[in-house]
Amino acid sequence: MRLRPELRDPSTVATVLAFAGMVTGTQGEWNRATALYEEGLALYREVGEPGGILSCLQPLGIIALIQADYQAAAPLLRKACALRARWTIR
Amino acid sequence: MIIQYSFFGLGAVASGQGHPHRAARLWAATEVMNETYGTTLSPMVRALTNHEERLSAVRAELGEEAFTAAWSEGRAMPPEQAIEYALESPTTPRTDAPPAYPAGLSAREVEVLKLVAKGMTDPQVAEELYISPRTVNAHLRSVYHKTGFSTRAEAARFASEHDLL
Repeated sequence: MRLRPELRDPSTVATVLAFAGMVTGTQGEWNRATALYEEGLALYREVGEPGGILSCLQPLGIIALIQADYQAAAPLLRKACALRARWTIR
Repeated sequence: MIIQYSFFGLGAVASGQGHPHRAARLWAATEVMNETYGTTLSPMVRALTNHEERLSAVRAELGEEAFTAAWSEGRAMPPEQAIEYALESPTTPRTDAPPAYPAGLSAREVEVLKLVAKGMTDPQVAEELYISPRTVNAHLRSVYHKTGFSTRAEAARFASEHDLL
C-alpha cells in the first residue's frame, strides 16, 4: 500500500490499514483482512491509541470467530473488553 | 466506540465451547448494550458467525426455563459487572455450577491468588487477567478478608496448602 508522504505518520497509516482490513473483511478475504488489522494494531500500539487498538482487536476477534478459531478469538475479544474497562470509550 | 461485538463474540465462543448459560448471559448483555447505545449488530456478522443457529442450539440445550433465567441474568448485569463477567475465563466445560473453594473464595479471587502466589505484582496480575490493577487489589483485599491473612506471603502459603496452585 502506498500513501502520500504527508500522510505517512503512524496513526494515519494505522487508520488506513484498519479501514482496508474492514473493506477486505467484507469481501470475505479473511487472511488478508487479518494481516491488515494486525499491521494496523501494531501501529496503534506504537502510538498508544486505545480507540484504534480496540478498532482492530474487535474485528480480529470476530474474524477468528467466523473461522471457528475459538482459541484465537477469545483472548482478542477479552482484551478488547479489558481495554474498554480501563479506558472509557464511546 | 462500544464493545458490543466483543460481548457478542465471547457469547459465540462460549456457545462453541459448551457453556450455554454463559453464552445466553453474554448475548443478553449485548442486547442491553445495543439498546442503551441505539446500535445494532451487523446482519453480515450475525450470519457469518451462524448466530441464529447458535442461539437456537443454546436455547434447546438449556431448555426454555433455564434459557429465560440466564437471559434475564445477563440483562440485569450492570455494565461493570458485565465486563467483569466477559473477562472471566470459563475453565470447566459444560457446567455453570461454581466449584467450592476454601474460605468461600470466588473463582476470580482464586485466579488472582494463584498469580499472586507465583510472585506477580498487582500490575502483572492485571495484565494477565485483563483487568485493572485496582480491581486486582480489590480482589486481593477480599481474599485477605475471607482468609484472615494480611500479607501476600501468607496468602500464597494458604493457596499452596489448599492445592490452589
